[in-house]
Amino acid sequence: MRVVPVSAARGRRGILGTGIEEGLLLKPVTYPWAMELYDQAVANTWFPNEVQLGEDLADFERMSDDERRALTFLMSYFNPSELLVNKALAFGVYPYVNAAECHLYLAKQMWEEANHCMSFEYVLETFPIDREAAYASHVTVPSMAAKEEFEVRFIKRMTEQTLDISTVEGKQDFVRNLVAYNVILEGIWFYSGFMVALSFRQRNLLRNFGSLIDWIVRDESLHLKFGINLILTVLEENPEIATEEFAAEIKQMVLDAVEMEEAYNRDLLPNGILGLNADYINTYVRYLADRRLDELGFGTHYGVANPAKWMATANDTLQLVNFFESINTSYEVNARQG
Amino acid sequence: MSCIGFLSPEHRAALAASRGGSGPPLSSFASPPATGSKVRRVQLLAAHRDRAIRESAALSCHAPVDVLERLTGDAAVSVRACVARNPRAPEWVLRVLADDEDPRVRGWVAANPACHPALRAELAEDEDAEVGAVVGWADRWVGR
Repeated sequence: MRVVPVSAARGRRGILGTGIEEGLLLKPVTYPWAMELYDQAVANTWFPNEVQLGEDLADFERMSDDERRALTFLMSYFNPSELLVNKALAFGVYPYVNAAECHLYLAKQMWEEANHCMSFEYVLETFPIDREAAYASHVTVPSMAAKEEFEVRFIKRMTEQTLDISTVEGKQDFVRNLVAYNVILEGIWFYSGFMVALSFRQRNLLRNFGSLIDWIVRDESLHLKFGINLILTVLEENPEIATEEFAAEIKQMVLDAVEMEEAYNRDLLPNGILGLNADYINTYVRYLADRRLDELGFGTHYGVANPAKWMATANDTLQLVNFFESINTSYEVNARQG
Repeated sequence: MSCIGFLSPEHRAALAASRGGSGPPLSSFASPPATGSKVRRVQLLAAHRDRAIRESAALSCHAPVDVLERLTGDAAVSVRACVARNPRAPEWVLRVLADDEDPRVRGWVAANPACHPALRAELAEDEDAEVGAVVGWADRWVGR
């Protein structure tokens, strides 16, 4: 799928704008990539109860305390974060995008975030997890709270009346928010969590929970494509915003996000669980950051290989877990640990 | 005038009762029923030109058998792999895919919790060592 830029030189309105009375008619479609993603997203509609999570209860009972704690920690982070993404979309993206086809996709994405939130509620109501503790952690665990505060800062800026999307500064704020919620939160932090969540299945635990995560990842891969296409389109249509200073700032945002995620993962797995420890996950985080930096045109920064080859590198396919490589990888990790 | 003035004592009681953190489940998490129109929609998706959309049809829990059967012959490996992953795929469909030319498809058959033990045992002897490795992984599920 190719991003087709709309040249302002052709006298057509670009993708950014706040005209309430504009963008009310779908055709002619200016950004066909958004329509393609909308069609794929609608085709991919699913509901949590299509996965029989209750069948995993026996696995949950035989998991170690550290494993259960890790699962609870993941729920603590994912649950509010799905709703936080919706705030980023509602306050920071939807109001400033002027293309009907993008609005269609964003509406579907917002429903998907709600569906993911309900999926994690389904997990909390199926497994004997202390909901109160799970709900509290996004405020009480400093590394988790820091990630949330990082996101909230950019969303808040999008709600301020001083923001003018027609100015260079306003467009840069729009891109900052997109990088924060899409590239960083969805494209790095979520995938880091998905890897830990799917690692249970690698070790023959929580098969149905793994299927639930598969469906969520399938949605998220489309969210990422949409966000990256949106960023690239805004940059293409508004070259004046891509100053050296702004580029350096965006890159630094990603590098700071990696540091935050590394601290979070040390809290997630203070002791390690079979086949997995914080260093292993954090190498994956750096690998993810390199992929995102490359997609944004920065090239790679960390230069690390993917330690979790069982996670698909091409997230637009369904090969989310490459069983063939996974088996070898799991053995290697276990062997390294002893 | 605030609209809050319209609330009756019954409204207030109902709102109060709907609060509270540890009450009954928030939702049944149920999907809408699989109506005829929903099944027809999956059939249309299965014929879509976009491979990613056919993949979604192949994974759908509402995919009827005729759709799964048709997609076992799809030109795209990823679509056939999705049929092989669908836990609602009938045994005979999985048997067809167990003979697929691509080892990735055969591997997903072995990983499918609906794969019959006899079929999985056959796949353990697959010419591709990785398919056999998937069988080893699948055999480690407790109570499968």
